[in-house]
Amino acid sequence: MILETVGLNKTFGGITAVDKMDLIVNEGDVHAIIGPNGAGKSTFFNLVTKYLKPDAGKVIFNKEDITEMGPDRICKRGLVRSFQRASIYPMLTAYESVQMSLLSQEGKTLSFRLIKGLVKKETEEILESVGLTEQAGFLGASLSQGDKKRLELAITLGNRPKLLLLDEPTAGMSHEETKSIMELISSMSERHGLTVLFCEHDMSVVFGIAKRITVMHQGAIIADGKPEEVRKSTRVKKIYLGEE
Amino acid sequence: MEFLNTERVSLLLGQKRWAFLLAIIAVAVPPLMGRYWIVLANEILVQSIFAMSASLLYGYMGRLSFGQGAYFGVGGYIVALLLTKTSVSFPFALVAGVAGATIYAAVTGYFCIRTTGIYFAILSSVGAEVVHYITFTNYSFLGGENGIPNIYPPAALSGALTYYYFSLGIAAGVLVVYWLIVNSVFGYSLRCIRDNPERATFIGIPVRRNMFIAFVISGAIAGLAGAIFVPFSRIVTPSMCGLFKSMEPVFMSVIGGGRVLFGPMFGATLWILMESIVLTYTEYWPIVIGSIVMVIVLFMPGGVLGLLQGKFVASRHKTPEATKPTK
Repeated sequence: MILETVGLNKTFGGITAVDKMDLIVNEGDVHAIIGPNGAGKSTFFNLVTKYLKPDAGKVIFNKEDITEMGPDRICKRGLVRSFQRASIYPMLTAYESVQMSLLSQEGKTLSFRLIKGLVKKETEEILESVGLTEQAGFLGASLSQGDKKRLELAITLGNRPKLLLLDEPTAGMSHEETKSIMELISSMSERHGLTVLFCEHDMSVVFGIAKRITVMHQGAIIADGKPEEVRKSTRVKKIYLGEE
Repeated sequence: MEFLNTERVSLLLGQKRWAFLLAIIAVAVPPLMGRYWIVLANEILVQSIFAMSASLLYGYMGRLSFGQGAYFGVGGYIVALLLTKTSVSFPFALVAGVAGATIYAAVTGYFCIRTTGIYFAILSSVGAEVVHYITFTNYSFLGGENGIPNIYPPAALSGALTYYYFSLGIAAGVLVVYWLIVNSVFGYSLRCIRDNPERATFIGIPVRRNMFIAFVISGAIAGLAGAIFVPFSRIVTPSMCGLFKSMEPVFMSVIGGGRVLFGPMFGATLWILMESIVLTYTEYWPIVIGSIVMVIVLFMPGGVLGLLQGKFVASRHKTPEATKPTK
């Protein structure tokens, strides 16, 4: 197991967004969290990566309690997140954006060495893996929406994640783009033994690549297991898949 | 991998050539000028350093500091006190001035970096007003509103032209350091913070720590500007410390272009030259410069050099939208 949450809780002014959640993510899995709008998926993500502070409960990553750590320290340990809306640097080139993730992960943000030429090979590899080689020199702001999402992923990969948290990685993408991004993610997972935890609306995406699925409803887990098990669960069908 | 970005273009095609040309002008022309123009040239150098201190924060970290006057003033007053009341050497006085400004920047910066946007601007200006208030009200030690007069540099630097060359050396050094900082990994961490502080945090950049260090460096640069200005002007007054003094480097970098290497220098040059010309016709200089700043903010938000550079890049480089078929 690479990630475990114990009794994770978050309320917003009386409304319980995440209700004492216990979740285990196994190493090497591609693990999806699904659930209707407002189920608490994004809040759960935000709690794990410390974008939000939990009211109660613990987050354990690689046998280490990270509940009290800041986001930058968690990132250095290999728990890296991406954002739902491409969160990039408008005035940095794609190349520099990836470079900075790599350099930051190496703990070099206080270095006064010129950035030019540093971590060249790794940067080029990552840009190639997401298909941005040709756009390497373009400023983030000038990329197309799909390329921004690719860059978002490339920035995340630059941090050399052990556990990658993707918050709706294909939101706002066309069908073809969705497909190619998801293929990329699952091949990354296979090649580097990367654990991926992602939440997603698009059912075809989820059942296509996830090895394990957790279903959330009103802040709590209502089903957890292999895709076929989850698909069979009558409770899930009723609440989420809209079948009788 | 062949690629271009705005800063790289100017580095490859513009900066070296410009730097060379400017260096020749800066070294060769002043001996041919009258004393009045040498004094102006010296002021341009000092204000260039001062403007770079603001540009580091404004152009690269994305924070508008209205407190740079504080560090300029602290640097200036320390040098003034040491040179008039003690017999320490000139270099020691300069170092002490910069050290004092650095410490004051560390104290004020500790609070400032915890805020963003307008609050950062307001809080940083408080630091300047504190220095202004203290220097303005203390007569016994700091001379009150009359300041401290009769500050003299060592004999070797007492001529206007020699002092100008001294300032030129310092300014050139600061420019090199500034170039190194903004193009270093640290400098890029600031750009990440400027563009997207949230993302910067989540790729593991210690945002507050790096902002704090940039703030302190910026304070040290402003302090250096103050420290070398005072022995040349022969006097230090509270007007060199307050909010109005703090606005000068900000406006200079806005005029020249905060994200361009030569932006602050260009802005400072334009400012000082215009000021000297306008003042011969009318005393309403602030109205003139205010209008100019307004026009620049409205029509060329990247500053004059930023605009020129943008045009230059656009003419040589297509955006990806233009090259890719639309879906």
